[in-house]
This record gives sequence, C-alpha cells and structure tokens, in this order.
Amino acid sequence: MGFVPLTFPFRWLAHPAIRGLILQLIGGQGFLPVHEAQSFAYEHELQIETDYVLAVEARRTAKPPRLTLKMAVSTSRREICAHLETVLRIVPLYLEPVS
Amino acid sequence: MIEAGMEPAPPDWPKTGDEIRAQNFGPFDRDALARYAAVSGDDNPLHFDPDAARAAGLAGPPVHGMLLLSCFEPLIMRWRRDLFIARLSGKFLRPVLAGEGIRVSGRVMRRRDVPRPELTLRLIARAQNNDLAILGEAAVWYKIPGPLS
Repeated sequence: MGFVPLTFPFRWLAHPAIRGLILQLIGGQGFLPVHEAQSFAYEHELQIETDYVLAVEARRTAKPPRLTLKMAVSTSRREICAHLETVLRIVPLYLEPVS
Repeated sequence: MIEAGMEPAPPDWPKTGDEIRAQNFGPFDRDALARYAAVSGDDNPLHFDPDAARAAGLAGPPVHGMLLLSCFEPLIMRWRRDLFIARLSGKFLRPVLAGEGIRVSGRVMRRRDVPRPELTLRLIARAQNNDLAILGEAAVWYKIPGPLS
C-alpha cells in the first residue's frame, strides 16, 4: 500500500509527447524553460496502479515570453480527479562567444 | 477513493492564525538534483550545467522548483494527519541554488466549518539567507485518517 504524492502528476510532463510539445513551443534548443509558478487542484486523490487520462492545453505568450500548460487528470470514466497549471518563463540562452 | 470533508470538524480543528512549525529540507546537493531528475524526468540542463545557469542569469544551477514545492506536502501532513490537500499552489520568487536547503513553514489564514471543515494555509519557503523562495497557498479539508495515514 502507499499513496501518490500530491505533486506526482508533474512527472507526466516528461512524457515524450508533452516534452516534444514544450520544446517546440519554447522555440527549440536555444531556449530554456524556467519554472515560475505551479498549482494543483484535486477533486479526488490519485490511486496507485490506476490508469488515468491526461489532457493538456498549452498557451504561448510573447510578451512576456511564457508557456502556460493547463492539464486535467481524469479517470477512464471521464471523472475529473485533478487540474494542474504550470507556468514556464522562456529564457534565451545567451552563451558567451568564444574569443 | 477517499471522500474527504463531509464530517464535522474535530474539537482540536485549527484556528485562524495557528502556525505550522517550520521544518528544514535539504541541503540539495548535485547528487540530490541528479536523483530528482532521474525520477521526475526533469533533466533541464539549467539544473546541472553551470554555463546554462549563467546564460539564464543565475549564479549557479538552481534546485528544481517542483522538488522544493513538494516539501509542503510532508510539512502539512506531519502537522496533521487528518487532512486532504485539495489545492496547492506556489510562485517561485527566488532560485535556491544547488547545495542550499530551505526552511518551510505555514500559517492558517482562514478557517471555514461549512459546508465542510476547510482551512486556507499560507505557505512559505525561505532560502538559507532567509530570502523568500516560494510563496504558496493550500486548501485542506478535514478527513478521518485511515489506518495507514
């Protein structure tokens, strides 16, 4: 027995499909996402050894450069368990030129 | 599933202004960040590569924000086991650099007894130099603790 840590759904951002979406929306390898804010809102606790459906909505803003991800976690019967919101500031990599 | 919050508040239900005793977490050294990256999948080079951190305007690689935010759950659950954390949010105000720890604390900002016993908590994480690193908030509901909680 055990429990699912409250922040565990953040782990699902590393899913290749979501990771690829984030990389594409921040502008590729020349940029880094910096975590600015995070929220979790639960209707029900998540259970171990249970399948869930994750829906992701991404919104990119230019000024300031940010990527906001809104995620909904639901059961296979479409019962909402949790909502997450992740706010990422997008930082360009200013690497010093080699002299 | 645990349905929380439909029972009446217990006699020792916290009051507005009650404090959650501060706890220290960390320090989070490079090995700790590598382990967190492995289990979380967050392998952003910002957290490992000093050049990437400098390019982002930081003095050094920062600790993952989610690793720091996750410290609020044990803070709350060590305070009281009869809670369901319905909401948790945090703003990352200052980076905590690799090798540093944090001190987390909380306070009851609001108590409601109907329609369910509910508390709104102000949560704070401070870096080693006492700078405010995370400003957070949580909503917790009363639940009867289970045998394993």
